Amino acid sequence: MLKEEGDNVKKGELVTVLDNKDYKANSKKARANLGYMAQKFSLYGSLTVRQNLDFFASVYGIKSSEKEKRVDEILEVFALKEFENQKSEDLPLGFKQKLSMACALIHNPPVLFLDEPTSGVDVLTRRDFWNHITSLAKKGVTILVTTHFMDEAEYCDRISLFYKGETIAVGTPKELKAKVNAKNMEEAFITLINESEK
Amino acid sequence: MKILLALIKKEFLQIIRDPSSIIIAFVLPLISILIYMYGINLDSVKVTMGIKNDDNNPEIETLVKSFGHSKYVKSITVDNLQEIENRIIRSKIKGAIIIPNDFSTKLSRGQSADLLVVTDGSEVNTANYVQSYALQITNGWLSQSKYKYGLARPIVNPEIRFWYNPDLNSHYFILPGSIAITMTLIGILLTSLVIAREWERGTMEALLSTSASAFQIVLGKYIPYFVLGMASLIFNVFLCVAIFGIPFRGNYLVLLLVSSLFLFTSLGIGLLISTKLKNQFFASMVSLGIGFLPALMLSGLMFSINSMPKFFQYLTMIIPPRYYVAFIESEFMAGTIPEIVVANSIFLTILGLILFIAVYKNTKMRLD
Repeated sequence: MLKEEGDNVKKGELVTVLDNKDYKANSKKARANLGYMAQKFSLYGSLTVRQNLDFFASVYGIKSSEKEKRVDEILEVFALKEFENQKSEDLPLGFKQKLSMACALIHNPPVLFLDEPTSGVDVLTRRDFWNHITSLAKKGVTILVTTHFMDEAEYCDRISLFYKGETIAVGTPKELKAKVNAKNMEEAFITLINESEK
Repeated sequence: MKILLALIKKEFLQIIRDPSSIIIAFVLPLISILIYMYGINLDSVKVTMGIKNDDNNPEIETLVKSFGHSKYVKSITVDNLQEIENRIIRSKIKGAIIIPNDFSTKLSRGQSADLLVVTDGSEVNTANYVQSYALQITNGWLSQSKYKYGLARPIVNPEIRFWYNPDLNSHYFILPGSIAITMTLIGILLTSLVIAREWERGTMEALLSTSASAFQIVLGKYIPYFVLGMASLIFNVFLCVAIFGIPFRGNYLVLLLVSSLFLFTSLGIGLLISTKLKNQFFASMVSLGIGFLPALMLSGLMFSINSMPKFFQYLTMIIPPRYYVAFIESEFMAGTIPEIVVANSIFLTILGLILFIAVYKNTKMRLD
């Protein structure tokens, strides 16, 4: 999902808005400030949980001295400690998704992109995920989430509604609901799409 | 640097966990060397020939006997032309000698006598053997027989020496040459799969979002597979020299240095394939097509480059195995010859660098 939307944004436009610095000239630095969790499981299946975290910590440029501490920390936060020596391809889907998010967060990025992080995971894990997301947001991390679930959208501060590759509405959940007099986001979503069709 | 090390470490962990790359690096060369050792033989083999003797002079009977005694020929006496034809058709005999009834008469008069040698032209190589064996055996017999007094003494008497391979054992050049083929296959196959695999499994997407640069990603692929390829080379050379007793007259250091240049080009071809084709299946098919087949056919190992049509001779210029085959055959059989080492190394370096740059330019840092 993010990938397709990314194509609609002109190259560089997205990253330059971050933190007011000119990242066009230094895309490597820009990437050190980003965390990205792909929609599809995209870690090294034959490596263990710990080796994956270790690897991503290094390629995101974390200093070797801080690496182990950071990996331990993130294992703790995502309750992955007991699986640390398991091959990541053998993990259940929910845990794979957690590990993906852990890898995306290993370098404490101020900006985080989550591409449908909760598709295909059970309700409990989904709630778990959103707990993580909201607590990160409270710490000041800017998070961009794409989702199909309208109840999830309700947790966000700002929503951009995409339809056929175009933004059809932007605003807080409250604003959007008020705009079309809807009880919940799902109803608002359907009404907004029907309106845009006309 | 730290990022590069992490990439290399990750690649090695994957190599260890994934048996397929170990199989390509060590089992594949073993199988291919066994095939080249026991399956392919370009040496003269014992050919079966039919002999039809129409001359009932007892002296000529000794000629028929000398065919029977030759270690290169198994002779079968046949009575009529029909039988010869039938047996050649059914491949029971590879050729036939027909001694006409005036053979001894002409010889005793000191005239030149005719002898008919029939060969099976559908197997050109064997036909050549039949022809030359028949000639040698007949001449040998002639110089021993009572007709030798009637012969003019030859003015030129060639003494033949086979340099570098006095036994004319074809394994002495096929096995070293097979190293060139397995090294091509290993270099191209191993690497063509790995970047394609990263795209297929989505890990490239994750990698691109990190601080790793294209240069680091490319080097992170080159280095581990270079190490694996060199380990495989050492294993290959060990098999050839220690197990199969192929004589090695060159210098091991030179062998390793030129081999590493060659491996550098092979890895480049493989990586180039996999950056272009983001699918492991296509990548492996293309590797066989542009890697393995030219290495076998156009490297000069099986067919001499000089006897190829002009177009193919020029085509071989861009095929790295050509330079490596030329080098490794002379290194094994004739020892280190500086001109050969330097010339081939220069070409391999140039091709390797061109490929490296092409891989680097083609490693896309964007999703599309």
